[in-house]
Amino acid sequence: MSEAAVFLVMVGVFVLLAMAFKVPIGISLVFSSATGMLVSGRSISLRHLTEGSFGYFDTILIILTAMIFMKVIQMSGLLDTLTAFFIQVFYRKKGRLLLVVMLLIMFPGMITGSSTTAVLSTGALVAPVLIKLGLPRLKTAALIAMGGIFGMVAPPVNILVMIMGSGVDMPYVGLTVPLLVMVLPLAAGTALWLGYKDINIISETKMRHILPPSLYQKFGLRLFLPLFLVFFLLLGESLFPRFFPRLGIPAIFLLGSLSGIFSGKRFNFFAATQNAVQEAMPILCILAGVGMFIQVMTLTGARGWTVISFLSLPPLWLYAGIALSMPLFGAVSAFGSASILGVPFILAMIGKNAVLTSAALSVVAGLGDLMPPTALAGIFAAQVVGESNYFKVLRFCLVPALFELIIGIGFLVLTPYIDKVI
Amino acid sequence: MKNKGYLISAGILLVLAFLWAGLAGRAFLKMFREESLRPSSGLTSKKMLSDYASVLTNTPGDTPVFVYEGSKKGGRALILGGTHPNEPAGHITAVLMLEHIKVQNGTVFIIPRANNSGFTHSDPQEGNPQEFFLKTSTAARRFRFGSRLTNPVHQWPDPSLYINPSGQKLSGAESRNLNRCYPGREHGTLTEKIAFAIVRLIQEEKIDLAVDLHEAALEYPVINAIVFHEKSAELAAIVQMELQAEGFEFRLEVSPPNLRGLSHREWGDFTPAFPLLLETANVSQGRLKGKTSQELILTGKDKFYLRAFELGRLFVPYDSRGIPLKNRAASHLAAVSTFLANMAFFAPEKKIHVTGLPRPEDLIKNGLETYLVPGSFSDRDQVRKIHIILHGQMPLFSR
Amino acid sequence: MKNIIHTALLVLFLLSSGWISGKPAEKLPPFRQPLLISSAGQSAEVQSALILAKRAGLKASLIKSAVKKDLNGFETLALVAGASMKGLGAAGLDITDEKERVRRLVDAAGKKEVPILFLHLGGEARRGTLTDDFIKEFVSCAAFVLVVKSGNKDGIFTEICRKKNIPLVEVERTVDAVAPLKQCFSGN
Repeated sequence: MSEAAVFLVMVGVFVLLAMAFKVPIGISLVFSSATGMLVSGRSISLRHLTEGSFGYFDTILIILTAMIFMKVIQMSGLLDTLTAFFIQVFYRKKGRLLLVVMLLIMFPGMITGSSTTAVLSTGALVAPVLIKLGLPRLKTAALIAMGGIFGMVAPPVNILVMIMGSGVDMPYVGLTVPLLVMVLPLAAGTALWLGYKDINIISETKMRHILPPSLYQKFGLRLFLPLFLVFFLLLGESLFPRFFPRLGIPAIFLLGSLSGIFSGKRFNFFAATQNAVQEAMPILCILAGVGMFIQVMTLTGARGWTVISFLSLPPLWLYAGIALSMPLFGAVSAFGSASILGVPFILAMIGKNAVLTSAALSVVAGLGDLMPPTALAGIFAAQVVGESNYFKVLRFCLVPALFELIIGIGFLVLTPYIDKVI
Repeated sequence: MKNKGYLISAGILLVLAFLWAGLAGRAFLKMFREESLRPSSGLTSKKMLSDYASVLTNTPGDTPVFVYEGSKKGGRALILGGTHPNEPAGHITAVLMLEHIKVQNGTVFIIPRANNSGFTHSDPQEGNPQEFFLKTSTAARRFRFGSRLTNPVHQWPDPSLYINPSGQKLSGAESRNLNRCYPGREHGTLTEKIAFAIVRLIQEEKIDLAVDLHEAALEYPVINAIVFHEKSAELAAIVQMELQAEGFEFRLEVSPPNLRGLSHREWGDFTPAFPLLLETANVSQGRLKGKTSQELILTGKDKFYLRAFELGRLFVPYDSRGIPLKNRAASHLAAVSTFLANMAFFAPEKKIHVTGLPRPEDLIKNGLETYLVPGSFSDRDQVRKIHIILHGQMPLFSR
Repeated sequence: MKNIIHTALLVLFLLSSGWISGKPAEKLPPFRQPLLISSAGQSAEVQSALILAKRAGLKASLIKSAVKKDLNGFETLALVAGASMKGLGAAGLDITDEKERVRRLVDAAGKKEVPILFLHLGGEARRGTLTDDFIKEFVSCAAFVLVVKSGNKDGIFTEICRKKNIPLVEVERTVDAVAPLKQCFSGN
């Protein structure tokens, strides 16, 4: 069977199981991967399935621990306290509120290069503020999801560019300006576009009315311990990597969560972790399944077929190919998209400045985190606001995402001119 | 009652999960079995990399160093294979050399598995075979097809951002890439320790010529290349011309001064040696590769790469004959031999004269199998594998 | 002994390959020493050019990124074309800047009446959009063009040289360039 046919069979089995038989997405992916191996004339190899899923081992741990962290700051009362603080400061200034909120969401993404980290840490912190001030739940989630993606792309740490850079031997230098030029207008525009109409300017009495209980009086600064600890460790690791212990993001979230036990309201830590695992399980299962799916795609040559098909596009169609394939491949993973497609695309545009090209491609690839079935940014943003159907959130992401795509591709097309300016 | 049902299904699932983990785990553990190395009679001593940096002692990063000292004085060379265990030509070339080399003048150090830990796992989502076999006259010799990176079991977690010992910012996974960790750190990560020990070896053994053997994907611009540090420029240019005359095409690439952490850069800056890095073209590590298999590693034949060549996307000539492993090893061998032979031109007292190596053109003609020390039948697993090679697939649910 | 055989083979090859017979020697411009070797595209073949010049017994210096003032004291400028790929763009190579530097150098050479020898030694492997830009722009400024044959498979050099009436010599292998180089400078 040809590589293309194998790929189609895999997708077919997946769609059939997930849509028609309502099998959980992760499990559907496992079966479709196994089918892929069989139809390509191999036996089912547990080694390959396991190996593929381990491609997301680190991501899985980050998600799991970030979810625990989120539960802990909710249960300790920190989240309410922070929300109260923000509302008191910003209830009259909606433009400023939106911009500050956007920057806050982006921040963890900027220093870790991971949209999930952003959505599940500061994203979770600001969500109640926005909702209380009148922004509908779904729009709030969309804002958080987009903020996470902008944070992932924004400097100083853009893992997507680093991955592409390691594929073409390009040092990670000179990216701050081009990335900011693309991301800042997008971030500001998205925040205002999604929020400006709905956020209410309210009277002080009304503000007092919606204010959640602040525990600051009771616990003082101790309450903020988990947050301080996480930011201190995250920042320390990225700013002073030589002197700082290398803990990794999962351990940092876990330490932050543990410190939450003693920081505020008493709660059952075990229940918090159980709760977090329960909520995270479907997406973790999807990631493991996606890993298997890619492994089998590579194994059977379907990955090679995909890449060569996009590279076969005539030059003018190349941009269309990039606009289509990089976010689409992001359905499996934005990082995977950067590595598998980003590198050949940079090489296909070898006459251009690779720093600018990779920056633009990373903006396009970042959209992959909105693409179902993984849609990491979308799924977690939905979870943060308590929405079970993340497609509803994605609907509000559509316009900002389209702008992101236009800016990314536009930057790519105009690279030779931009090269002269910055 | 409902609870009981849950317990039963949970129990069944747990048993299945353990079974899966056990079977997959067995397959993974197989990668920890090292291939046998059979040094030639010219071997004068065998050391360990940890002899140069005790921090490596009893770590998975420690690796054997084979020393061949000639009866006459001369220059000192280090040949490094297996920096990236998914680039088999480098590894095989080092193995071939250590099985055949006899040194007359000077001393040659050979490290066939520079990143020993990288040989113990394979890259997730690359779908590669874990090993490949070369059928010698008696039995097949097994070689592992490992990963570009150190095994995460030995070094974990990756930071999100890796700043290497020379200050270069890289994506976190590169912290496990030996060829981004030079000059290494004595008390750093395992990979940095390996890099540190190699630099220490070059310094302590007063190495004059250090060659790092690599391969690259065909869509990557630096390919079929001699990458040289400024101070090796003249040697590289002379060798390139001589190789061209012998029918081996290499292009010259200078080591960029601002791409830090790579062997050709840091060995050059931190040691007195002439550093050089060789790249041949390996289909099986590319992004465009079709169905993966042991044949793909050995023959380098791939229809998608053929299409990419026709589209002008490759940086090497490519046709339906593929680029077989034996040709790639022959290129490496030709280049290394020419480097060694040319040392005397720079300083007569640095002369390195070696004999016994197979001629590169013979390697291409007769195949690698002819020049590897024959395998032994004693290894049951190998025999089983040969059976698979000869008689096709294993039954359903293989590893 | 090996060297003698090499030389003999080389002579035989040159005679048979026809560059001596096909291109009359008097058409080769009489270049004068010393020779300044510089890059057009920062590829590593400048090193090969230096070795070739040495083997041809020429007085030559290599300044990879030569500028106008470096021309002082030199009678010939050799431009070695080829864009380096290692580190793509970020390795200190900005193609726009590099082209501008070469443009100025070529201008200065023109004003000083220093003739230009254009070399492309990397063969087919050292072609591609980046390198071709340099070829298209600067070959026409040369007084003499010397290329490794496989780099001219598509006839890009033949085409430009024919239009501009510039003598072109193709050699099979890099090392074969020694003889024509020697010949170029034999007038003084």
